[in-house]
Amino acid sequence: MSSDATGGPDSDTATRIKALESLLLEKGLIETSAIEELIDMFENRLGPWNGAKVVARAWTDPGFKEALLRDGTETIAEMGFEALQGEDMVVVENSAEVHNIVVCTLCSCYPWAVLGLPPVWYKSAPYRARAARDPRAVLREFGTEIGADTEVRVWDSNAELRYLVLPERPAGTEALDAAALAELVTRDSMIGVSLVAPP
Amino acid sequence: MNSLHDMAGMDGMGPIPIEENEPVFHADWEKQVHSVTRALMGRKHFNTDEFRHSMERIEASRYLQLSYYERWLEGITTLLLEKGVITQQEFDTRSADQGGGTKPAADREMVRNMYKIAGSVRLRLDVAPRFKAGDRIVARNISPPGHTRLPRYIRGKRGVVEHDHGVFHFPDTRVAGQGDQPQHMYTVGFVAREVWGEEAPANDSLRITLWDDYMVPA
Repeated sequence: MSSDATGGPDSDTATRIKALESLLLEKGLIETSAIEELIDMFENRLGPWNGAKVVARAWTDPGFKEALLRDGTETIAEMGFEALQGEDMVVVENSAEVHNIVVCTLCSCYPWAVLGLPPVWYKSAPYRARAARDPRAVLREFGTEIGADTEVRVWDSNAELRYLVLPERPAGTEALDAAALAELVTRDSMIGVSLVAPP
Repeated sequence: MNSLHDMAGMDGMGPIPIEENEPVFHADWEKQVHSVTRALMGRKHFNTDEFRHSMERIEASRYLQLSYYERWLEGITTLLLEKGVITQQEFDTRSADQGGGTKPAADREMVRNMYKIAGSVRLRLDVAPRFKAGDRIVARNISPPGHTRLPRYIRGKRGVVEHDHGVFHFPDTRVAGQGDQPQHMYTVGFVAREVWGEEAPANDSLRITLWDDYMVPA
């Protein structure tokens, strides 16, 4: 048995998936090339660097930001990232008034196109159980304190909508261009569990 | 179904397992489970809703013991057996008795195409919405025995419709074999105190997606 926190490795599980994969190969249902392509895509091509580009462009291009908040799916698609069907994108903007945080309480829905696969903590029982009910305590576990005057708004990703948090641009970054700004944007800030720190 | 997967609001799950510099996968077998699952879904051996439901059916005593990708493996094994894609005999003996049926093999080209057609699964159907932005609603208090995306914590709670996202298939009936039952899907806002009680901060709120069949007018 392996723990929810680490996700393996488990020799029995490793044996079972190996057996299932070889059975499916033998039956002509999958080819090795599909497995190779998927591993390469999720290990190397999809990741939070895509989301960071979206955020940095929104910070530097008001027209893009307006379009992004109005129609996340179309606007992000125009940036040309690979993505899977079923990912209607909704971009939610942090401000002095509202801090957004995303959870999938029922499973692990997450915006793969812009963030890649979710970290273990996002899929874990404690995050799924607590983020909706006590988001401020969860945020504190990530070292994030949100003032009492700011509304904390939880988005439960229970349907075929995928949320990307547009974090606040940190002070002191006026001189930076989009490429430099993208370097500052973390995965966690786009899930809403942390803020973007100044350089 | 009211199984352990519907865990929002529960206590006793321990600390959040935050890992610095986490790899995408923690072991090769996780890559295999993930990729085999995506490849099978690409050829429509099962859909997203069926896949979710297969994991919701894992017994509660095991659900938390299994890691994330162990649940995936258990889920796809259940579905492949139920749908007759593989037989128990084949799984036990690790050896194919028969071919894979009529669906073509999932290959590299299929994977590339899967990720080219990215975007909405919104259905281009003319279905009248039952609600509009600004409507006050109550989430229905139901306990369906099968798959649902209406979590327990929101049932019976009062909210306000904020945005109509258009027409989507209805997950409950899709898994139950009762068709897509296309209907509108909305972002609905709830104040935190309505959902969690008076100890919740007065300013805080929650957004969730509800289909027409999950709501009644308040």
